[in-house]
Amino acid sequence: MNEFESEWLRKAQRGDQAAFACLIEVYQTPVYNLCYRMLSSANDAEDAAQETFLRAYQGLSRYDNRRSFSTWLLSIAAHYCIDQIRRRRFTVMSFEELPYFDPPDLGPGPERSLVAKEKQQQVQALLESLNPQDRAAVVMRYWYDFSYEEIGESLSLTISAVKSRLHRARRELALLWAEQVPLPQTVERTRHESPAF
Amino acid sequence: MNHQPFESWLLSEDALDEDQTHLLREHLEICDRCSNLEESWNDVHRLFDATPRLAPAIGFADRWQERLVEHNRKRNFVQSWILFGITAGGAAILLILLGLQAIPLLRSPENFLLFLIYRLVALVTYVQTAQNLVFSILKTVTDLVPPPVWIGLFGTFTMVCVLWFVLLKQLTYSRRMNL
Repeated sequence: MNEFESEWLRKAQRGDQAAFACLIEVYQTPVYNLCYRMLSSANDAEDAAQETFLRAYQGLSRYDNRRSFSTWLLSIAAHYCIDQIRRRRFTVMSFEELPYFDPPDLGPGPERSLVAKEKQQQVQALLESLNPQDRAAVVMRYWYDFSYEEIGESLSLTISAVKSRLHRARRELALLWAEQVPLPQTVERTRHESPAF
Repeated sequence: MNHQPFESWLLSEDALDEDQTHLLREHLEICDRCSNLEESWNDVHRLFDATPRLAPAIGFADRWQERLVEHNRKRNFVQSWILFGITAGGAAILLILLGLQAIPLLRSPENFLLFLIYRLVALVTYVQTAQNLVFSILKTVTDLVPPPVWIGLFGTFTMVCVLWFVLLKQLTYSRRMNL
């Protein structure tokens, strides 16, 4: 967090709404990205990100300045998204109510955009196979380079639980990937044997 | 074939020592299952690395401010209704209590009227008694103090009033000057 952000945070804690809006400008992408990776819907991600900032604004008085602001913010977002995913399981939706799935355009040119979109969909399909807490741990680890301690702090888990969850998630993701994109079948071979035969 | 601990080593982010690395490499050379798992995980990892962070549509902060206004409006609305509900509930409870007390009176109105008349007469009596008391005290005091003392007291009181008025005027004037 740089000097400006610290100043905005101090002002926001004193009730300055404009200062908090500056913080939103800085942190909107990380929060939105986490919500999108968790919920797989642009509309739901927007709603979750908005709600995250609203909760953060209301809870600023409880924020401990010794903690990292981004970790605190992403922790709020992750918990909100986990709740939303759990709620979805108990909600029966009609076909018309299904969320509109259209991630934002990522770059110039239709070809690049198409490839990027395909990658996004592959990533989302993989992430959706995980349970909500494992998903949040994977996103924090691979999109935000969070340490085990930071993930544990954000998701209220012990470090060993984080390690175990990440290990399980990596295995599930690898197996699912192998199912989706079958690797070339190799015959049983002995050491030093040429793979050409 | 036993795939442990190789599978754990493959998926672990902890650094392996030299022996472990050697054993793992040997195992991967003969085990398709584990080498496929390694390759799949590496593919997934590469895919994650190649997938950038997504940003929200432009105007996110403005939309948040609108949402905050709407949220505050809803909260105030709910708080107003809660306050109204509590007040209405309290009023309803008081009305019910009053109604319960009024039922016996409504059953026998003559008793109620007699009670009212009694209270009215008692009130008039109290007022008369108080009036007589005040008059008798005044009369006693005026009889005790001679007329010259009364004139002196009145004169002193007038002087004090005039002095107070003049001082007040002077003080107000000087403050205005300072401004």
